Amino acid sequence: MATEVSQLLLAVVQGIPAGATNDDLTKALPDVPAATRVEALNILLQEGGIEILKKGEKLVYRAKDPEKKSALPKDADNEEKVVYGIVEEGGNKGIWIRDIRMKSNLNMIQLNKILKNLETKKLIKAVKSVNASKKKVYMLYNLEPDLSITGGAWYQDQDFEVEFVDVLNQQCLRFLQMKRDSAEKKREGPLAFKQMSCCTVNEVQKFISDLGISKVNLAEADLETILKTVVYDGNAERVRQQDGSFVYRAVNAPLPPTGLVQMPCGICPVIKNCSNCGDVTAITCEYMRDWLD
Amino acid sequence: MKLLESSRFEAINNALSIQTSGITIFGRIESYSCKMVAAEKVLYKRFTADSHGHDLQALSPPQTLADFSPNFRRNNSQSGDEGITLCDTISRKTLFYLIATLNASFEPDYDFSEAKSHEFSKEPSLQWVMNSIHANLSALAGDKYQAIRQPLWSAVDDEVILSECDIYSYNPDLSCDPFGEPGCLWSFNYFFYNKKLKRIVFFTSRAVNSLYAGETLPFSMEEEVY
Repeated sequence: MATEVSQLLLAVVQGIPAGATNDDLTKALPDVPAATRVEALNILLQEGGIEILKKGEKLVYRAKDPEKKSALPKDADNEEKVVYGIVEEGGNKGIWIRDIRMKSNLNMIQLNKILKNLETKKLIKAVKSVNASKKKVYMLYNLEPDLSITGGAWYQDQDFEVEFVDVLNQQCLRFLQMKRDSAEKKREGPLAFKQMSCCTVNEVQKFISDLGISKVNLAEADLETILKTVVYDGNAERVRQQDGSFVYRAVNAPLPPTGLVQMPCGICPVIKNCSNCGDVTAITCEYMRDWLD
Repeated sequence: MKLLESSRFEAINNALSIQTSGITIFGRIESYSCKMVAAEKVLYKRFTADSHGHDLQALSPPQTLADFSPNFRRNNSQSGDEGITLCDTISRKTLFYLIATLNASFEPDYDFSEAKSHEFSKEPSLQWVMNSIHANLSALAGDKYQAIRQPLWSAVDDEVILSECDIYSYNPDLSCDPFGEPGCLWSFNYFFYNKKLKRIVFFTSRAVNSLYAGETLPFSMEEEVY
């Protein structure tokens, strides 16, 4: 009897993707007594066909995806299922072991044992995160870690490749300047000059690939981040095209900044106290001395 | 690293958990033997794969020097030739002991296996370390600290013979370790390492805004597991 009711209940729950409440179940199957319905729900929960969620103060039943269910072996106990579900929620960004412990309410020893079991079965794995290198982070075994975890092309074994990024920065700038110089030589007028000195990210990518300085295959997105560092250094500018994409252009300042702009007085926090006498004077100022040397 | 049980240390640890208006101090001292367990031996082998454990690694300048103004450094460097000062160094083996101590102390939430040598410092003298600790704890819990000051240092001295110790400190990067959590006002972490006895006493303390202290209750509850 309960088994037959459980199949009917499963059909009802599957018909309500947002989750079925007890009221929904009562309306759908008015002839079934409450005790039988509870027994049927327990059968479904044991089999893993549905899951219980909480919406406000009410319990909600939702059908589980049959494909997901197969990832976890059937002999796993309830604690393992709970922990596995929490790790699954973390997705490819991973979840910190303390967050797992708080969500699952398991004590440390029990949780460690479960995590070790799941790792042995190759269902989850520990991940070293670039932005949280001191925290233990877990994620599902078959997932590829997110860029924020691995650090992308710029990280090698958790270490930022400073020299690699510097070299790319210089080479990108060199390419932009080469383009600018060749446009300058053609002397076809300011508008054409400006147009010819612009480079797309794709052109820069080809140039860097031909150089062969990178053993890793760099995508356009990677090179765009390098070009942005050139822009923020003040050596290039970023121009938006009509189709929404961006091109980059080397910038040559016609004049060096004037001396007045470089004076330390402009940003001095005690400028108002500066005078010909007293503790703060230009004669004894160390910033002034450094600047004049 | 094996945690050495000590009722004396436990009594001091209870006293080091101090609650004042607005601020909660979590402090504790732990004694570890430098005997590696199986998992640590595996880590050590990987850690010293490129060398033989005797290579030297560069350390950061002592943290206690940060208490002084920049003028102090300038005067200090002027007295030396050309103002060049060599940085402190540490053997890779000793560095591993410090890292293993941090792992043992903050397990299972944190993993310091990737810590670099520049995140540690060697402190110049015991007196400086004591003064720095005294300054931090007295500012917030003067009366209570005065009461436990003498038993604290007596217990540590009995455990590792302070006069024979090298003293190191860990400098948090504040982004992903226990000392960068919300509400943490200051922290210090000192290792008193006695090479002869093969023991490390680890003294860690954090001041947390009491509004956030509730979040770290599970952390306190963990200590009951020890």
